Amino acid sequence: MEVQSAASVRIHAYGDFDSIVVDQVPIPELQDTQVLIRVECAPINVSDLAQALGGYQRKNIPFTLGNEGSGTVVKSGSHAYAQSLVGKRVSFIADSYGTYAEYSIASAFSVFPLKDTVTFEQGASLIVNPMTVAYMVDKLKEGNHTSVVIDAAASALGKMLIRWCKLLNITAVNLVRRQEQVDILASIGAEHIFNTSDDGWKDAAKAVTSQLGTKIGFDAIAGSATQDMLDLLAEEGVVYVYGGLSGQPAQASPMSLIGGDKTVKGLWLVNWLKVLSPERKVEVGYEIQDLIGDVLKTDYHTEVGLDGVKDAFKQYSAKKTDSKFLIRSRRA
Amino acid sequence: MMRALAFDKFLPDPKPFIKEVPIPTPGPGEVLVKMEAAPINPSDLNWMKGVYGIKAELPAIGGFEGAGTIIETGPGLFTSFLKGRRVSCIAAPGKSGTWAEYMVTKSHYCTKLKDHFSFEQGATFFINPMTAQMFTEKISAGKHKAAIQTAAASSLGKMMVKWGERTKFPIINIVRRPEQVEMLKNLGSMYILNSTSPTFKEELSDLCKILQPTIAFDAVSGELTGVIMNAMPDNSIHYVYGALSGQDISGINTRGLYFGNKLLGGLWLTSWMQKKTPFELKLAIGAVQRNFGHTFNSEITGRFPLNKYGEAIKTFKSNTSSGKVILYPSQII
Repeated sequence: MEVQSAASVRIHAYGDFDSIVVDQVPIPELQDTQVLIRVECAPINVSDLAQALGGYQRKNIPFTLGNEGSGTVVKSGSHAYAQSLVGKRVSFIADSYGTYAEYSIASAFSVFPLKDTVTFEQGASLIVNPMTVAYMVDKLKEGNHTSVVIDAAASALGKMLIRWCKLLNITAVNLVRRQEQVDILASIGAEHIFNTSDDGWKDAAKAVTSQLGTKIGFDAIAGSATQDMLDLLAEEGVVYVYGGLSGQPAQASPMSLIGGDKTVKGLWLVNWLKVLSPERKVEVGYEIQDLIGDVLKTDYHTEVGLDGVKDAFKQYSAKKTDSKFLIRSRRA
Repeated sequence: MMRALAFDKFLPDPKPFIKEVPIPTPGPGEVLVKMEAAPINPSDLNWMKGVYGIKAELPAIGGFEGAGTIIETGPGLFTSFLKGRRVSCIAAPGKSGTWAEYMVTKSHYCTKLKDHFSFEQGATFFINPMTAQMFTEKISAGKHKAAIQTAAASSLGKMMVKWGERTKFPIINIVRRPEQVEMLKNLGSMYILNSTSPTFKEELSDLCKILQPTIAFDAVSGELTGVIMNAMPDNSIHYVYGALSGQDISGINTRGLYFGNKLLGGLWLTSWMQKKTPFELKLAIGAVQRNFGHTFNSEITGRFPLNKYGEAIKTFKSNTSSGKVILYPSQII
């Protein structure tokens, strides 16, 4: 039976979580390279929250929330590659149609086939965090780096990067803001952990990075954190800003840039996915799945149905990194 | 012994003084230059303030560039024939300075001064024209269609303005004062913005939409850097090469970095030159003469013997965007 419409979680006003409603939304005609996916699971990521607040990839409201998810391809456009995906279990990034819905639409080139060993729950969070970490690891390998500075290191993504670095024998120098985060990282075997709320943390961290000759850092915070990270790096160091958790614009010292020959850049998964060939993309997708059980593990704290998304957003926005929601799209 | 203009503290308001020091001896690949003329550049003040790219080992001698005569060469086959040559030269940072009766520097940091150039003209041959050359190399390497520069009314800024006019390359010139706007208009610049104007941000953003400048050369730093970066289109590169504002860089929109793929980097003449082989450097010096040769004759606002440095620095500070202030290191009156 042809699916005509899907229950979809839409937001009707930017920044107003009470305007998040489950609507019955018609499913449009598929374009040649698009596939229709029966959604199983989807996570709430920081980027989803930012989008609901209007700060990330603005769309015309109302729109369906959710940027990544897992499910089964049930239909495709006429393109041969799209057709080859029908019937497959996949992880995917949604097109204009979000993932918090019974059905979603994606470009065939934003779809990653899942291995049999990977569950829909794991597959739901395959892309936004793990793939970004894969992008970072790609940068680390490309520059033959043997050490790296990571801030907001206790985030889900930070922990993934720490574990993956360990696997590659790359020394991670980790920056966090609170003592309990120091403890969390210590418990996953992180070596160099600095609490930026402690006096003298920067000198202590600088002593370590100087010895390691660290030339690369990943900054999720921006504001003065960018400047701090830049100062920690050796000459010719590069800070990649990939988030703005502080809500502040980035800062830098001219001395670091001029005399130290250092650089501040951005890092965004989408820009990487744009330049990767479709074959390499699928390859990276499989590489990630090999690591998904431990290195790239996502821990969900709470599961909700589509009708629970509104409250989940309210709770998530209050707590940010420490709680992870999984949305189950299919009604039991 | 010789007299040199030295400093022994980093101060926001530099206080150099005349110091008697031994005449240095050139090592292998080095030459001893009797200094005849040396300018005061903005980078000299930053060097003394301790806000330059690298920090001086104190006490240090000031002055990055100048002109004089090679009177002694270090051991090595390739330097001995240089003896007696009139040259433009730069200091080897951290080791020597041009504000002294004599200076030791690397032989390839000197370039022959043509007979029709005076020492005074040759004294400003290096830093500004070479920096302008570095900018134009970056512009052509990145195939940029338009650029932005701050401190556009400085000597260096004006060189870029003239180069832009001659090569029909659009440059958005940012200055701080209305009279500087007039000055650049007279040089033929079409795009001049005053950063203190209340409508600056909108004008900048409008011009960026039209001209699509994807590279910026920024001597100011501070908040202005953020304003410019945020106005530039995606995939832009913003190079900072000075900190005239005395402020840290701030206000860079993070989304511009990650969604817009913008880059913030630094440019430093010394490190750019050090990355070049002596042969590449020779090529660059040749290109400098072609691109900026006619602008060497930059006007001079003040001439001072070394011991009148106080007056010289004062003149320089009150007039940063008009002509050059030149010190005569071998004259003490």
